[in-house]
Amino acid sequence: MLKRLRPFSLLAVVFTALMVASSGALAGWELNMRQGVTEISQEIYSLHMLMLYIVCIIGVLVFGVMFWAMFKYRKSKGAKPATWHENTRLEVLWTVIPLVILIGMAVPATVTLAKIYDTPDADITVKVNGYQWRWEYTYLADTPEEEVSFFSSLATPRFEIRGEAPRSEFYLLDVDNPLVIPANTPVKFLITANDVIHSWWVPDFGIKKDAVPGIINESHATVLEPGTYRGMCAELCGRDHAYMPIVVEVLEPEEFEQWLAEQRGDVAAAEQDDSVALTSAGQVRSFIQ
Amino acid sequence: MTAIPHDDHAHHGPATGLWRWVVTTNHKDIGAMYLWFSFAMFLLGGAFAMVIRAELFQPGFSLVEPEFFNQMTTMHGLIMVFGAVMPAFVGLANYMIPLMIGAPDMALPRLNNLSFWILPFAFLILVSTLFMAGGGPNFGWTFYAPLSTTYGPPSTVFFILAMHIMGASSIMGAINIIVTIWNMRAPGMTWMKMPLFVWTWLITAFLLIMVMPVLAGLITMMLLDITAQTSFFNAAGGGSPLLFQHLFWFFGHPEVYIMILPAFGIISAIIPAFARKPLFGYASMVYATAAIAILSFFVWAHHMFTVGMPFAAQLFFMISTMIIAVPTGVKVFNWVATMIGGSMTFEVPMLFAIAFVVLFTIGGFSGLMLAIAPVDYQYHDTYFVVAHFHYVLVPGAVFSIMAGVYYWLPKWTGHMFHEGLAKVHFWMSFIGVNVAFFPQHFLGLAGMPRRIPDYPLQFANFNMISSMGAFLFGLSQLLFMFIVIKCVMGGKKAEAKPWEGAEGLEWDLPSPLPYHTFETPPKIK
Amino acid sequence: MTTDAAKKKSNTKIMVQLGLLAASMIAFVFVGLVPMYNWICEVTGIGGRTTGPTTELITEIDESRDIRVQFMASAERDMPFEFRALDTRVQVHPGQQHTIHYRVTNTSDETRAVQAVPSLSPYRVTEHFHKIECFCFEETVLAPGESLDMPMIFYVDPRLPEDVSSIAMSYSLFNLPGYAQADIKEPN
Ligand SMILES: [Cu+2]
Ligand SMILES: [Cu+2]
Repeated sequence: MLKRLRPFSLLAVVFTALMVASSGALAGWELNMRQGVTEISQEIYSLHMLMLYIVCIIGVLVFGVMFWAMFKYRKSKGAKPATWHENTRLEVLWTVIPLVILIGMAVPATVTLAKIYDTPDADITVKVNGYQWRWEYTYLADTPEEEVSFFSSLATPRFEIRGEAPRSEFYLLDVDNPLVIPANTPVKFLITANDVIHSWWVPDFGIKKDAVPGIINESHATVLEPGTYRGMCAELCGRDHAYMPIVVEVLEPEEFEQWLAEQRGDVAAAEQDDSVALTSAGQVRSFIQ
Repeated sequence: MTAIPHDDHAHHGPATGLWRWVVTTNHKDIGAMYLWFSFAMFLLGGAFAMVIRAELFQPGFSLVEPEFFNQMTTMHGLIMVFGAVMPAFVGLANYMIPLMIGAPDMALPRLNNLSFWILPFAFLILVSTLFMAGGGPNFGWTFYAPLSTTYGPPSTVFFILAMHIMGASSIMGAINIIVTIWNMRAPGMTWMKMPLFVWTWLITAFLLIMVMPVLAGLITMMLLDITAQTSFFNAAGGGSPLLFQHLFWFFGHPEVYIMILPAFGIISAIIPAFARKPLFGYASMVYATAAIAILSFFVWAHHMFTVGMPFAAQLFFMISTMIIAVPTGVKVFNWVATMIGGSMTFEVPMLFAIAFVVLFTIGGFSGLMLAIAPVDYQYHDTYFVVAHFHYVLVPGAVFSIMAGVYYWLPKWTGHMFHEGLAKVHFWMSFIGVNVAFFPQHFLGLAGMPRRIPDYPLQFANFNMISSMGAFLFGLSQLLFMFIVIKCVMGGKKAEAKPWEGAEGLEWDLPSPLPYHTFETPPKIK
Repeated sequence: MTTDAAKKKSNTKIMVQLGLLAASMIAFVFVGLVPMYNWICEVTGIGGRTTGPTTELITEIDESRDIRVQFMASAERDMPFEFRALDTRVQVHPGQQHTIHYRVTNTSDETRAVQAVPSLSPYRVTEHFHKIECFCFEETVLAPGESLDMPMIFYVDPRLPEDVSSIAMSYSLFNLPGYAQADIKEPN
């Protein structure tokens, strides 16, 4: 028996070691979902932990009984086979109990889901547009002149990807122009795509929404803490799918207002330059000439 | 034998030479060909997986370009699903179902020959796309539009052709299996006396007939969109890329049960055999299988929680998916209850079966977590999903096939396999599979999307571990090939019933099996 | 021998029946599932695709409510078109008619046909957004360099759910598939 169990225990040791390593906050050994910085993401996290505990308990019970049976009812220990093969009461019991557990899971899940769908009225609306392979962010405004729009592309240099230089801390998670939003303010994201399907994912916000060409999808976030949050495109979108990260800079509301005003100023200045009508890719921008 | 007149077909031995395999209508020949074909595909799909894991061994472009990486993930998925797992189960069905129900052969032998022989052409076409201009399919095995239509490579039409041939083969195979089970049972083999492998396959075959045509319709629409400017999936002409996903998963979810229900049947044969005790809850196993099959038609959109759906739809698909845990749980409990009170030994088929129960259940647990719509926003399209479906498909479906092969190999070849080597194979596979796929749960939770050739540095450690596990698993399958070939060539003589507790008509027949069996129906107790 | 023949016959019979089942499933995809999908989208508003022109007449104007409607535009990748909303935001009372404009310019040197596809969020508002006139009802053909200000006249249904105070409307411009250059000989 022992001999047979050795690989099991080896695995157990390896994974325990990993668990211990991760608790020391070693980067690169993260085992679990992030709690995130919105009410929703934190609720998703608790729901995830609840499910995890439930399945772990069920697993321990079921596998425990199984390994006990494997140990007890061995031919080598002289076990004589029984012939029973039915027990209606037992079978009803293990149909009903899982059903009850499932209801216990479904109730909190439904509550959280309802909360995600219950969207606050947002003052700030950002249109998120997926391209092969970058994101375009547009801050909707009252008039076309006031709209701010820019592309956000991977900033990790090619030679780091090629391994010709040491890789920086935020390898593949750095962009040239991050999305900027205010903290503690409801923000609405209107997500769509320009070519194929992408998916806009910021784990810390608890948002993952597919960006589908021709369709707009809505997501909301009220970020509780200023900071920099990173994510990646989550739907296979072709060659550079791995190279279209998302970086969101969350500022205090006043700082954000200032930032937005600056951007508008830049736009106005650039318009005098008379050169903003088309972007590099020949895409249409929502500016008035 | 030579004295028998030439046209007396029923008593013909096999034709000689290679031609025998082309013209054969014998269920054992065809079953064996299916199994060898699927093993070849398993190695090819496995080789692609090795490329993927080698690229992911460390961050950066280490081996292949992203474009080729995408072709590898796509081909790996397609070949494993349609080339390895499905044909392996069809092969086992061909080989074993007539023996299990006391029939002399499959009901439609000529159709059987046809459905096997179009399969190699399908995969020849599929693999050849890798060498075409613009490369092979690079849009994932789920081939979502418009990445696969408007933005797909030129070889997509050949991909569609290959899928059509493969689908036709599956449908013909399924028809044959249903007719055989329906009509060819020996007198006294009533419905509720049929071994569970036969039951699960009957239900699987119905699933195949229901959903393979949906796949056929879907790829036909794709073909029309690509070549005839229709707009099924093109928003411009009034279509929708989301329609594609709904149709795909209407096929795709039952498809995953097509790959797991026959596995339940195999495990339900092996566990009682080595526990020397009848299967617990036979009837509830049958009902649970049917329930899973029926429910599988009402859960498809759990693959699409992030596409943007009304609240009511999310709730419906979340709850319908969770309900599937009930019949699946019944099965696991029944297997455990079969072991309790038994007299167990742990030969190689049993080892694989036990590993199946544990690891498949782990895959079921993560499946249940994925069903919870709000949490799925974080899991969806990450390595958590990759870990989930590899747990149900590799130590699930693939382990059950290996368990079945080890279980019936003495019957097929007349030789015992090398027990020691087979145990090494089991432990290498078991460790390899867990080291490869368990850390992928962590990767997914930490935020690594699937289908990426390169990743941020915080994912480096677990990716390296995962790759090492995958290499070990890959290597151990070469040992499997060696063990099987060695067993075919020779070995200790196998008795008619090499496993003490094995039940079923197939064990009444001599080992190796004669070319023709049950020409007079057996008597059923 | 007779039982064998009988069995063979019934084998063929079941085979044909199952084959018909498979064939009818293929047909079901085209005549069942696809229309069903479109119908469900229409009923639930999934995808936010508004249709029209509306046949309903306005009955009343609800001055107590103020709805913000925002307009966005995007054009499919690599399209030589400029496409933008000239009005990006309007405040409307439910029932009140409004006209907004989009401007489209063909920057290429050939005549092209395009189709604007609407999508609206939140989806549950789709059935309450009525369009009286819209450039999205049919394709638009533009000569090289031609620019067009296209109107859209709409009103929001007074039955709009109470909790909705803002609506976002997006138009995506697509190249029209199957619109070969030869078909567009004489644009007006
Ligand atoms: Cu993307
Ligand atoms: Cu599914």
